[in-house]
Amino acid sequence: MYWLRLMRSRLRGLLRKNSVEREMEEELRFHVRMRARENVRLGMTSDEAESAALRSFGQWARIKENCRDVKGGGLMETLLQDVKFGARTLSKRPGFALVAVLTLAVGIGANTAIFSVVNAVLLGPLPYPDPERLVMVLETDMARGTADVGASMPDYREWEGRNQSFDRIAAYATYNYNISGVEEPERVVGAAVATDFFLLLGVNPEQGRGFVEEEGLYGKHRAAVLSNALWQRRFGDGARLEGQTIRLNGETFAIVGVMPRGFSFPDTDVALWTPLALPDNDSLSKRGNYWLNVVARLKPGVTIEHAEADLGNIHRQLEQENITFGFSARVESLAAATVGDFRAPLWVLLGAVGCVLLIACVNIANLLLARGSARAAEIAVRAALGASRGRLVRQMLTESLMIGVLGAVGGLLLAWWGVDVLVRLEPDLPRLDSARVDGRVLAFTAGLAVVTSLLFGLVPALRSASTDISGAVKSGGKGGTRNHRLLGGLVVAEIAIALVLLAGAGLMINSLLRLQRVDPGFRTDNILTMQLALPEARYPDDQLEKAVGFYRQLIERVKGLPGVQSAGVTSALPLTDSGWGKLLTREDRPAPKAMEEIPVTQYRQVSADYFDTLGIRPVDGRYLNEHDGPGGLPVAVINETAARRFWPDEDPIGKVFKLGPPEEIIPAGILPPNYRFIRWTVVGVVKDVRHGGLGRAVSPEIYTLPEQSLANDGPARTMFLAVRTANDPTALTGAIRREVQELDKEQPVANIATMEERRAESLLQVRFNTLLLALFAAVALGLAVIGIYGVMSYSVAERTREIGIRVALGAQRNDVLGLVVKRGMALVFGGALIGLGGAVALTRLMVSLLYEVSATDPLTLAAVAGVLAVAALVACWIPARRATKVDPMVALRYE
Amino acid sequence: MPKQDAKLLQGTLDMLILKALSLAPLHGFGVGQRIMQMSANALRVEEGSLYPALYRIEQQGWITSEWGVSDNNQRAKFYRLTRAGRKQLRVEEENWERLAAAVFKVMQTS
Repeated sequence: MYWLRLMRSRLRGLLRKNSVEREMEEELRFHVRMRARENVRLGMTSDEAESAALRSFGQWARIKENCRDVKGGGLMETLLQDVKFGARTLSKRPGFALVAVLTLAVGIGANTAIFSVVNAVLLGPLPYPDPERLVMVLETDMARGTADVGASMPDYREWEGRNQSFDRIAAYATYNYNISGVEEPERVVGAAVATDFFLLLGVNPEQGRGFVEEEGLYGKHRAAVLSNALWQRRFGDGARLEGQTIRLNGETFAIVGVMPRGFSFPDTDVALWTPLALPDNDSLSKRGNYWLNVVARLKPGVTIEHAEADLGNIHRQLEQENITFGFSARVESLAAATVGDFRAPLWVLLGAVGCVLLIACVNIANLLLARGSARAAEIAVRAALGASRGRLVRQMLTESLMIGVLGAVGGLLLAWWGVDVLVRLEPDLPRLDSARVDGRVLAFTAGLAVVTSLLFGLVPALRSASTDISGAVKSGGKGGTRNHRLLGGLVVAEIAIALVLLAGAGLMINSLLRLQRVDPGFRTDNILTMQLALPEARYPDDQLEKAVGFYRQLIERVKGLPGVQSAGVTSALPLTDSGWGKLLTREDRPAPKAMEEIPVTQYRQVSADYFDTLGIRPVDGRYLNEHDGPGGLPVAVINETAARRFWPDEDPIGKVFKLGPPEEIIPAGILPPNYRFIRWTVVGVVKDVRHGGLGRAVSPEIYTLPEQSLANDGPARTMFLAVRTANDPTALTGAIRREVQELDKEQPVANIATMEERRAESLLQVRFNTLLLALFAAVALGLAVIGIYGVMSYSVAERTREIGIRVALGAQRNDVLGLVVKRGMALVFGGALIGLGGAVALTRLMVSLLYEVSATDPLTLAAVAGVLAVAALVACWIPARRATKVDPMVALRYE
Repeated sequence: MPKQDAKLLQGTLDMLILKALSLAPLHGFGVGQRIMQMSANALRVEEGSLYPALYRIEQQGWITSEWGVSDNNQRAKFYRLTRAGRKQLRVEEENWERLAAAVFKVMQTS
């Protein structure tokens, strides 16, 4: 009831403000008349009585103000009043308002844009029901300390059968599928998945069904679920699902379902899913092949730690039962697994834009403070007329808030555009495409508007509201010297923050420059590469020499094309995330007793002309060549790292090794009877190649010819073709494609790119982060310089008289210059010192983003401090020069 | 030098206003006069406190106001107690008696 009445009365106060005010006025006037009459009755003259009555009534204005607070709907009404008044003051100084709003818009815009990305990539929930229960299970090779190898099929089966933590658990592996039987063969990424896969994720096909259990049996597995995009592309909208088939890797699969748009697990480019099914004798179903990814859904209430302990117990049981040794499993939330690598750079960027916004706030606070002293007289008069301190602060905060809101609106517009640019710049961030200005982002921006308004408005507001009234009125509104220390402090803060940002950007730029100078170990110019995956159906395990033949013919044909200088194939091309790990055992040393002691190496199958094509230079010995045929001595070329690691202080040429453990320590039943690893002889050493990326450490690498490995793994079906050309390599794409079709008209090519493109793409992420950070640092520097300039100009204007006296007393131009610049640079120096401290403390957080640059690299820090000092000097110099032009006569008369 | 004027205890002003209005409707000036008269000139209510208090009490719904004519034929705003106001006055009287008795006891002990 009370609230209702209060609301009504306040509303009345608000709506009929004038009549309420009039009534109040009349009532108070009546009171004064009555008081006067009383005074007359007590014996005063009527004039005396009147003035005594007024006197006794005290401060009219304050009483009315107090009454208004109670009556007139206080907050609401004063807010409206304040807003009106604020709008008037702001529009009286449009320059100030514009600068403040624009500064803030840039700050808030940058923050909103980056936050939209953080929101989409890091904070947004995964698009599955109960996403917090989804986890990845990673097998860990404890002995070698290599975490997160894939899971082996038998171990996955053990987890599936024995665990007590998961509702469902599903293995999957991504594959490349050749789609044929159509005019344009196509190669797409797909996933072979356990039949529970879709049920586990909780997403149902939009049409048709997911997989049923018996489709997980080899032979019944020829069923496919298509992504919405592939279905639309191949069959068009409105096509009926029944009876549709698709040729995958030379076999016909029934299409049983189509997933809804936007479903793209495990990768953004996955186009189809097939059941994970292997023939019984397949080597991939044996223990020792660690290749499966495993996703699982925790039972409600089970934590990641529980699940990990559960799996640990399973592995202990397996050891007790003598089944497998030295492995365990790690459980990671799916959300973390998806965005793991992107977390650090995004937080760094968000921190950086936060700093930009802070500087923007400091600048606006500077402006407000400077203006506050200009307004001191106005405020003093209002205080004298009875405005309470709280009322004045509220009024000025309202003005700040108006700047804040306008800035936020401008910022939102900027962010809208900025998100668009970001999305287009950086296609590699998972879920980036869902970045947009949504409710959460809006709330963030609104919060920023309020927080920043308080940040830049509170100190100036408190400062001016506490102005000593009589002093201010007397000095005619010239600000007190108290402001100088505060303004100076703000400049110091601003310089410090800008320096931290500059340091971060400097380190990133330094890293990027180093990365770009890294010798990749191969040529990148005029090399066209593409990937071919020969289907198992037509190149089965027992006829792999057909694959060798295919590639040999292809190389010959491509070499015959005009403009081609050289061509070769490799099972793993640098900068493509491809690889093949193997154990390496030296023949001339005692055999290791346990698996854990055997080192790991990377293994590639290449054609003899691959080295020459990619320009991988020889260091020692010879390349592989045509004479090393299937029947000849098995020979291998190794890289420098392999030479150093496996044959330290020895000549590796002529040494013999095998790619596997000693046969005798492999438990029975894993290898076929009488299996023997090939004994390879080292014939050459080549330069290291930055295979995993320009900034990555080099792994040991072993190269052999595919036709010599028939006795073990056999030649690879999936190969990259690399072609070195005389001119623009992309011009040859069509011709090479035609050669492939002529050899096998069902064989698609995929992943076509020049090496130069792959190199650029490998730097994309770093370049993106560097670009943004540098941009933010530049904005920060610009704002800081404007801030110093503003404060120094203000201080020169304030000291005009003092400077005039100095000049009159004989100070030279240089003295005046020095006076101003010295004060400015003292602030800059102080700020830079604090900033350096901050940089040393904060850049440590970005170690994971740096390449061969220490987070406290003294050269970088010195360089950015230098840049800042020069910029600041210019910002001080201009007002200082103006000070030298002060005419003493004018200055002394001024006032 | 100790103050001569009895200072109004925080919160007692509202009660005094209600009490002043409990006999008959009064205008603002009259409320001040009545309190002075009832206290034998010991309590003088400052105008700066009186009017805000009146408006506050009116918003509580304990008093209502209407424009009328004063004894010297001038337009004036008269306040009258509502039923809720009467109830409130009783509550405050009881509280006050308890408080006064307690304070008295405290001051008696030496």
